[in-house]
This record gives sequence, C-alpha cells and structure tokens, in this order.
Amino acid sequence: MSYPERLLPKSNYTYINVSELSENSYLLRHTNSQDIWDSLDKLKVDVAMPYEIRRDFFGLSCNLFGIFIYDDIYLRVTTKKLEANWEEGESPLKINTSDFTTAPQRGGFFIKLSSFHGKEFPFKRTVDNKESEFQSTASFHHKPILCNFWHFELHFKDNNGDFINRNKGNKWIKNFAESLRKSVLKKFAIKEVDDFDLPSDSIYTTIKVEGLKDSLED
Amino acid sequence: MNIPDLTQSAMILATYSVVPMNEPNQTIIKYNYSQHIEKISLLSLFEENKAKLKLDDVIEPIALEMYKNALEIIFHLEEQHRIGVEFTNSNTIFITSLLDELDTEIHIELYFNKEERNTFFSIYNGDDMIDTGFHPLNTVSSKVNKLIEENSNKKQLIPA
Repeated sequence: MSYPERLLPKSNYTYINVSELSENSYLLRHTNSQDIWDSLDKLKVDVAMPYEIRRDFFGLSCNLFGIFIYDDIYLRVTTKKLEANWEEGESPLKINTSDFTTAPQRGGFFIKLSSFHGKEFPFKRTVDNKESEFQSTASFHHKPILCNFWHFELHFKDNNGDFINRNKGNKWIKNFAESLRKSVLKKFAIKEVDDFDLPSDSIYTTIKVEGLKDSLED
Repeated sequence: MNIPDLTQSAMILATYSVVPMNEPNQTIIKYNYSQHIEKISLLSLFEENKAKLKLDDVIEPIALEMYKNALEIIFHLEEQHRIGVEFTNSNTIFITSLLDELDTEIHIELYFNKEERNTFFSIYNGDDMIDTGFHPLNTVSSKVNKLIEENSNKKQLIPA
C-alpha cells in the first residue's frame, strides 16, 4: 500500500484562507476507538478524546474533508519529520511504506465549518456572588504539514484576540477549557456527512502565470 | 403492549429488570416515562458508575446530592426532553438534555473534586450557544429555567 499523493502538499499550493471555503465544508477528526457515539447520537467525549489527547483540544488537529477522505483517518504517519509544518513553495518529501502504518481500530467524527468557525462563546463565572464575563471565539486555521496538506487546527481566542492556551491558564481556565471541549464536541460533532463541497482549486493553488499568458495570447 | 392489572410504572420497572444495559455509562431516558421512574433509573446509574468517578468518602455524598439536584433541574422542565448521561474519568458527570421541540440543548457538567465546586452549564438554541458558565448549582437552575422560558416564548411568537 502506498501513501496517497493527493494528501501531499505541492510546490504550487498556497495556504487556505478559511473564509474562502464553502459553508458546506466539513472537518474530519480521527479517534482511537469506533465506539464513540451514545444513544442520543452524541459523541462520547471521554472515549473520543481520552485524557492523553485532551491537552490538544486548543489546537485540535483535524482535516478538511473532501480530498482527504474518511479512509485516510486509518493512516498513521510514524516518521516524526513528516509531521513538520509545510511552508509555501516547499516540495513534498517522499513518503515510503516504512514511514506510516494503518490503524484500523480508529473512528472519526465531523464538524461543519460554518456551524463553528467564528462562533462566539460568551462565558460567565461566579466568584463570591459576583459574575465576571469572558468571551471566546472559535476558529479553524489551515496548518499544512509535510505529510498532509489538508491538516487544520481548531483554536479559541480570548477577549483580547489572543489564542487561549489551556496549559498556561489558571485553574478555572483549565476547567473552562475542559468543559467547553466536552460541550462543543457534544453539540457539534456529527456522525455522518451526506452532502459536502470540495474545496475549489483556486483557493489552494497559485495562478500558473505561463498558462495564463498562453491563454491570453490565444 | 397492554397487560391487565399492571400499571405503566410496574411495566417499566419490569422492563428495566430484564433488559441489560449495553452501555453502562450511557443512557437514554424516554420522555414518555413517568418522572419518578426516570429518577429511579438515573440514581441507580449513579450507583453503578460511581467507582469510575474515583470519589473519596467525603465527596461521594456531596456528589450524589449534586447529581440529584442536577436531575431536578432537567426533570422540572415542562418541555419534552431526552437525556444522556456520561460518567467521565475526570471526576465529572456530563448530562445532556435535548429539547427537540424548542431546538434547544442543555449541558450540565458536575465537578466532584475539592478544588472546583461550581457547575458548568451551557445552553444552545440551534447552533448558537446562548449562555454558558461556571456557577454554583443552585443558580444554574434559575438560569436554565429563565432561558428555557425565553426560548419557549420566542417559539410561541413565531407564526405557524
């Protein structure tokens, strides 16, 4: 089995501006188990996101669904350097069969981009009978890596527009992060997707100037 | 099914006693069951899963009391609802309530550790989170009721 080339970045690819993606776009996240849905068809968050990967929620890795297909969640890259960030213009490294394995026990869930990206989560906290407010905004960011151009991350920003870092926050930020993680995943994780839009070439490829010149001369 | 001389409650209890729960830490409560049966079932769920919460002797009675109070918040709602309960490995119980007719979803997460005594709650209307926060459980009840009432009134204002 060879690694799918459609996942690899190419030298004429560009970073994707999330606002240019169709509203009918979905992100797909893998889990280490397939038994992740409860009887309400809500995600079992403690199973889907067990303790060891919770710290990744602020910066949760996921993949733009479409060219990255569901079966791709079973691919597990084992060569660390292939998970380094890809920079525009950089040619992809070759991926050999020794660089990855398959993880057939994995499952996955979807999040609809438009139901989450840019969404505000107003948060209140009571201390000594006084309420204080805290605003967080969710956003997806394109973070291509050498083995996967379709890699995205989910982040939250605070009142000042700074990324919330769970690990640097105080105790209540950590608890907030923990509960917010469960709440938004319960609310927004989707089991299946029937209808979706593929990203159009124009939002992730540079214009081929020579080709454009040729067509203008014609 | 209609069997003479058996009340609905007795039927439900009989059903629970013979049908094994496939997922011990997950459940769904049908809203057409009577409220007290729902509570009985959910409290037994607590008994079955409290080991997973790793509670100490001091916290356990507090946890049970908080759990009962959280169920009261949900069960006192007049709207029809479906409930899911997840016992997590991080000393919390996460309760989800779906009010389909109002397109509303309520989350209540109870913390059972010495550092955190507040309760997380959030309410969504459609895809919008209309309120969320960390508060003492007794104030969560009034917040939930107020928001549900507002949503219910909004729904009544929308012409059919």
